[in-house]
Amino acid sequence: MHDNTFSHDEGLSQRFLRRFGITVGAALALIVAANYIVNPLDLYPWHVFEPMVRSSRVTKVRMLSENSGPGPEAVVIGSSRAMEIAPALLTRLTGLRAFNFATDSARAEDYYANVRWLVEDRGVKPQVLIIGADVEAFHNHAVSDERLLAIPALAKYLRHGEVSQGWADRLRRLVSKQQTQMTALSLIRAAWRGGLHITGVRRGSDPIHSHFEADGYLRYDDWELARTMGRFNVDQQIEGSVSEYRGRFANFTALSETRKDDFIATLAYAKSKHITTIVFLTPLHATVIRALEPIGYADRLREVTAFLTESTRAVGAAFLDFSTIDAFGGDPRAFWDGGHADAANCDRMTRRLVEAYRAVQ
Amino acid sequence: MLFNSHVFLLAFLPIMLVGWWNLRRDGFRLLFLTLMSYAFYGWWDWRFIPLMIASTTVDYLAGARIHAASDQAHDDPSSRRRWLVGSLTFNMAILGFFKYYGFFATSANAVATAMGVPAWIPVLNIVLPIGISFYTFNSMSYTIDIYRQRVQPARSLLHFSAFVAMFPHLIAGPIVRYSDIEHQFAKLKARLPASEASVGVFFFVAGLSKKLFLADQLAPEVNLYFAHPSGPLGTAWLMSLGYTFQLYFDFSAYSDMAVGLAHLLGIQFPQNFNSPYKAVDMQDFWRRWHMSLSTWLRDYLFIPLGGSRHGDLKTLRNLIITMFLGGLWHGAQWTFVIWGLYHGVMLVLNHVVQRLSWLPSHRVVARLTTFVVVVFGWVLFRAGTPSDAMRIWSTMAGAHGFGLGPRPPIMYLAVLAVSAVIGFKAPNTWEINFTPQPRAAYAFAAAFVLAILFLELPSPFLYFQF
Repeated sequence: MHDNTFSHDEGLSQRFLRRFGITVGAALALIVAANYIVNPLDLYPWHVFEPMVRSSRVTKVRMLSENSGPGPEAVVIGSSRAMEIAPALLTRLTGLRAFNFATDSARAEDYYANVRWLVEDRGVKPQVLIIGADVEAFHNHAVSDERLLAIPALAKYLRHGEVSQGWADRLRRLVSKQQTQMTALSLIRAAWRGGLHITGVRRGSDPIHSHFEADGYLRYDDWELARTMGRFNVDQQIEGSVSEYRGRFANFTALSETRKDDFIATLAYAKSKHITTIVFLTPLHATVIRALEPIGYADRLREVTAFLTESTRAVGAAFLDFSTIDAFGGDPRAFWDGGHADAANCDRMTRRLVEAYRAVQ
Repeated sequence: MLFNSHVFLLAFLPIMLVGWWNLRRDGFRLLFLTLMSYAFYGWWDWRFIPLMIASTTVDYLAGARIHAASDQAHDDPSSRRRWLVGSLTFNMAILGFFKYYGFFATSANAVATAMGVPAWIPVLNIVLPIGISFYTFNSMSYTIDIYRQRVQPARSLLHFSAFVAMFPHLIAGPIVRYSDIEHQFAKLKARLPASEASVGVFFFVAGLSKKLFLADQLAPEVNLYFAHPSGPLGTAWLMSLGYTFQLYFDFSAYSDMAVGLAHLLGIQFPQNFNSPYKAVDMQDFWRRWHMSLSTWLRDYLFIPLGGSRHGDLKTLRNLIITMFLGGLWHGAQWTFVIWGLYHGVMLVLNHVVQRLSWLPSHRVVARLTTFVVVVFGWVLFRAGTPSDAMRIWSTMAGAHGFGLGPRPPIMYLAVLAVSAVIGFKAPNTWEINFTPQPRAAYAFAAAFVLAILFLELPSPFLYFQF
């Protein structure tokens, strides 16, 4: 056996260990404190710095909570790919008050938590629930979104106890790479802006990427402006999103049994509350679909389609497969990127959804 | 539980170290180590702890009986042999059932179906207990070494349980022999010298860095490719090379971390990797790759079969058998079996070529030739099926075009380049003349903190599946 015990000076080794331990402790404490204070992912209620990433969950829960009115009669849930299903169009076509409750990176557990919160915490009982389901909402290896876990009002409805609300889990989130990267970017941005204001180089407000209207509808302010000015290159956006989607589907090897269970529970809950449910599969651009085909996308799509067909039929809900734009007469140019259909395509889908709603009435 | 997890780094390890170095009596310390190791193992699935305890108990009793029957006044060779056979049979039975039953049942049924006979062997859904290949081999080496009178039996069941279960090597090796541990357990260190602790930190952080910053960065693209192998020659080579380095850095990382953790307990483990991609021929490769397994196979399989003592033909036969079983050890899949046979054949060819003095004399050529042979072998090892492996091999040989294919992400190429430089040129962790300088402390602390930030998703070590 090799002798790997080097005979070093004990004093030198002790100093090495002391420095190592103190540096690790201090660095971790600094990272935890910075992530907590800077709050780049909008996980906490304070905003010393502007969040780097919008927390649609926090925003929309707040919007619904602060609205003291009777609440929406038609609710849309799903991921960011359902955020441009226009409540205003739904209202015009159905006469129902509508709200878009879609949240970033929503998966099956989000659907369940959102519906339960809406009915039991907010006291709203919608007549119709529209679920924009992504194929990867049933991912068997993706963890639940941290922004969901950070909202106790929603997270308490998670059914499969992989989520801990304890201090250990909160601490773990405070030492994550994502948060730390975002904290660093947030501080750099704040320093840059502070420098610009001090030097008087820049005046006025900063450009906004997006915002939610009062009914939860998403407006991509900067992209819409760029498109209006003829500067929005949709092909570049679509190509640029291919690697992101390849990463999402990389280890998506089967449908998650717990997420399927969450989805069935969502449908069952809605049925128990006499809520008409319409489910649709959100579209991906053909370019992205082609890029995903070598890594099993077709298999996952087939599995999700079969599951959604069967589970919706079991409760008398409607299912529409909009996974390709041909299914709803969509326009391949009406996208913001490879996964986010713009208002034009979303309006086409909305009209088909309303037809389906009328058919099940 | 994974070494590269928050719960291990921030909870289990501190508790383990505080308990180990503050308990006074050696008996309590070994009990603490054993119980904590069972907790470490049970974090994955507590239901298989009784299996490990049963294997430990059987081998401890067998070892005691073998030794008792070796008493010079009452030497009873047949009794010794019976107890040895009993111990080996028990270990092979549990290994055979949990690891190989499904494989043999499925294969036998496939043969029966092909012959027009209905499949009759029930295929059970058996969960493979993690680490079973490692701890059964640890245990078997114990009883065999007692039989050969190379080691004294463990002082107590507690000593032996602590040896089998000790968490640094429990799940993915190195396969430690009792003779390596015996004298260390006999007299546990009362305090940890700072020099040894600093070496422990060095090995642990080096291993953690290799795993998170190299192996895990190559994994996504490699997994994507091998799940659906397609593309021309360039893609096949880039992904096969990616896996070659991913596997090395993943597995050697685990070994480094195991060595580092053992040091933090005041225990020394043997080296498991010695820059295998610097090997000049296949025999040299197997003296450098997974050394604890290759020496186990040599001492307990190759040599008992006759080794190289009975002429060339028998030597070659013994090589093939040993590598075949070595391949099978890795897993119940035809790709592993064929991989083992592939290396057996390569060792045979190596032997022949050596005899004919045809081995390349130029070091670079010798290393490159050996490396290419190893890369082709890893394709078999990683591919989902033998036909996938054949497809990738043929692509690497240009059968599906000589194009470069779509460029992988820049980060993948960068990590691959760094991995190649480290694999071919840099000294390994055992060769680095580590000195606990202050600047080194800051660098290691930065690497450790960065590693904690990278612990976002569970990332098991590749050899956990064996």
